[in-house]
Amino acid sequence: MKSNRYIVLLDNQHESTIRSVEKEFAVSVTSSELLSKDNRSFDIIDDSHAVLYKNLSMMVVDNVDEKQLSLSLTDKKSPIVYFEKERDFYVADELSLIEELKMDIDALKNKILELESTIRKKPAQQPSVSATELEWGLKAIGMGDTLFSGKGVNICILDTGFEIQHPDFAGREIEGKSFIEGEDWDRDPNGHGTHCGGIACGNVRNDTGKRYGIAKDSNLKIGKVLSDKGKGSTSSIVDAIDWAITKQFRIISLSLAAPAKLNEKPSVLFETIGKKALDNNSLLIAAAGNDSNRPASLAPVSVPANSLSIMAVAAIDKEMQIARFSNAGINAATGGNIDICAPGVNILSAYPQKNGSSDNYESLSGTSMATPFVSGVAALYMEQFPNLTAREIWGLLENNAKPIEKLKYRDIGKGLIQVIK
Amino acid sequence: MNTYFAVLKGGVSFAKVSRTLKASGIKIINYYRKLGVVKFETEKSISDIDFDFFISIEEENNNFGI
Repeated sequence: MKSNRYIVLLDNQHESTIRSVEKEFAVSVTSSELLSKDNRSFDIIDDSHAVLYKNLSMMVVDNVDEKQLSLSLTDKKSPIVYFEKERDFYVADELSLIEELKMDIDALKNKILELESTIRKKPAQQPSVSATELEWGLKAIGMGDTLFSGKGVNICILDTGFEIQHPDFAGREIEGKSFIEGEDWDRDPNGHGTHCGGIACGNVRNDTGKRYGIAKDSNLKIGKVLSDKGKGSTSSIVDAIDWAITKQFRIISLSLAAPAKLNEKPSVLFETIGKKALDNNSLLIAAAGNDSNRPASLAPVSVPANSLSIMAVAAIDKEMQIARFSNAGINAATGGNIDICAPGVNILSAYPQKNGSSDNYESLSGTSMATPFVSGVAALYMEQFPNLTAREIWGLLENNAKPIEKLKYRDIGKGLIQVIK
Repeated sequence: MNTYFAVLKGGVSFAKVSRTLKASGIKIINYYRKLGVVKFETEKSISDIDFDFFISIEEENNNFGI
């Protein structure tokens, strides 16, 4: 039965004090000195009788008004200095404790059995997947779980320009300059530059939500060095690289090429420019070229990718085979190796709308598409390792590349570019 | 008129190169200081140009494409 008794402490035990308490709470107080085996406290204490334990200045009362007790504590005239409800205490019986533990064990056993049954009924655990669906190229380079987005890194795409009205780039701050007379950098009737910029710096499609771009938070910089017809010269390219280095853009992506002849020596001009770029902490990344017709004929790495100071990118397809058109490092005696490879066949990316079509995307193939893959991943590395130089980032890109079974160094260099987990 | 790109040798003063090229009737189009490259125009053939200042001279290539 639940007790409704209170323990009340008094500041003194004067006769007058006891009388005032008796009056206030309408009880008769019996001193503990009068208790005996024939006159026990529990026989005395009830609604109208309390017991005072004189040595303790403590009184036990039953069924008093708790509010009244509380008010007494704040009343300076009241002798009551503290009160609390009587607590229940139990004898510590060892056998009953063991019985209680046995009951706990039984309850625990039942819980374990229930949990085991639930786990066994669940389907086998699947590896975690990204919530956003990815284009095949992004899956191949391990984009799924990256925490990096190229934030703050400047990627400069030297190409045919960029369609800045593309809905996926609405609100993005894009800086650019044209090196082609009479043609602006901020439109792209050709579409090649927009496609490359989309791979390196884009994010997700605005219609399906599928992701196609890599460094979505990077700073996109555009240099128009190729005409609307897709043609360019040494002048436009050198002018643009000089501009990009002066602006301290960390990554300069060149999805362009001029065919090289068999045993042709790399251009000293571009070799020098590549070195100067690295000295200025900029990384030049260039397409290896699309002049091969495999397996029948292989063409050497094009200019300027054949320069040792410029990273040369080959293309592979979804089946992890070298792309039919991808040039090879066959000018071994004079230089011009492939450094790395990336997805470059049937690559979907942003594209300007054509002839009234409402489609903002296109699937293209080429080492031109593989190149911005490397540029985008380089931006993720630069965000992750902000203190590394452009040369060190190059080394890291190669060291983390994944070799592909049965594919030769001649064709893919150190292997398939990979995002660091 | 042909356009050329010349890579300067290390330690060579552009001012001196500029004076020499102008004296030879060669028109300097641009000097890329960060790259150490001079772009110029001339009707002369490369063999007639003084190579002492340059590591290399390459003619403009209009064959870059996508």
